[in-house]
Amino acid sequence: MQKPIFMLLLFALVLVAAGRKKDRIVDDFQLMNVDGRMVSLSDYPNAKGFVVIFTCNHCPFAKLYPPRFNDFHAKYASQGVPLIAISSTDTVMYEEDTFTRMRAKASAEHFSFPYVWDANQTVAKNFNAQKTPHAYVIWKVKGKWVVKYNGAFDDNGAHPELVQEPYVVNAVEALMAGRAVKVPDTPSIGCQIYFRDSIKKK
Amino acid sequence: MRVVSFITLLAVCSSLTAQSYVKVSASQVEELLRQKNDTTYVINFFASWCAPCIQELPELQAFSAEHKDEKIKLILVSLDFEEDAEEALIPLLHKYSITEPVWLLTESGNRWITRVDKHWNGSIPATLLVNHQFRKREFITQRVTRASLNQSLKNP
Repeated sequence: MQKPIFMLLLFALVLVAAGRKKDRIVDDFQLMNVDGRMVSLSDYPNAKGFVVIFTCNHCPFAKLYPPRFNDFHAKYASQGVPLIAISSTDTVMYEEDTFTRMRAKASAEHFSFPYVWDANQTVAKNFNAQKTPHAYVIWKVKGKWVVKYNGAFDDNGAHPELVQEPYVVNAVEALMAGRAVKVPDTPSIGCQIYFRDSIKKK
Repeated sequence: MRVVSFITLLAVCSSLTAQSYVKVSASQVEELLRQKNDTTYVINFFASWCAPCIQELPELQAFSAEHKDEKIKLILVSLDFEEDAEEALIPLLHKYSITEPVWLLTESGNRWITRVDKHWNGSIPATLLVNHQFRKREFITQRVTRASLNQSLKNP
């Protein structure tokens, strides 16, 4: 008689343990923007959250998104959710991703959002960013920056007109309304970020 | 019907001279994964813009050459954009004298990724080894070498 109850209890415990996934916290950073100024999360005292995009100049997938980033920033920065784009790729491997070329791209494509250079790749490591573009939605919870979403910006890079699920926008809308994010991570094809340390080790 | 169309697709691939590709949808890749025969398919997802993918191409070719008389078939699935294929993919196939079938995935969006493997986050290179008869399936998201692929073949 007691065995089934014990099993049920054990099962319930396992469920609770699985559900209590630890929130992932990321650190503030200070990186140089293409306008020459340093940018930190703490520069935005009124921000409820941020959309942080790891992107770069050279990747064919990253090239598709700046107009969408501009649209997002135009709509949500004033509502307390600015977008910051970070380039963390190895500039030795990809000459197209140097700071000079970042400045040229931001100017030519009228980036309305900060495009900052993670020269030491420390911010990408802190976020565990894997590729470009790789989008994160972080939200301020008790003074800390909690990762609420990571993955693709939306479900169609090549064809913005065919997007069915704007993942980042959905996550931000949910958080602004005080709801949980339904889809907290998604897969996406992108260009891998090579971390120089890991290359050296091999 | 489906099997017939699939066999035709494979036949078209192998009859094509080197350095060309055929366009496929994600469903066609899934169909390959469902083949009920005793061939081991090694499906490598790559793109011309992916540096580590290009670095492992010679290893894949060597593996394929080593097993050319066995029921082991390498298929290279390119994730290049269709409009870039002539400019970026074809020169790459020429440079490496690729004779294996090359499929250009014409799927846009990201929904197909987890249909290939539910744990895949979309990073490439990625290689899938499948053999229906031996109920074998190994999904590799690290760089492969001829040796590592031979080891994968031996794994249960």
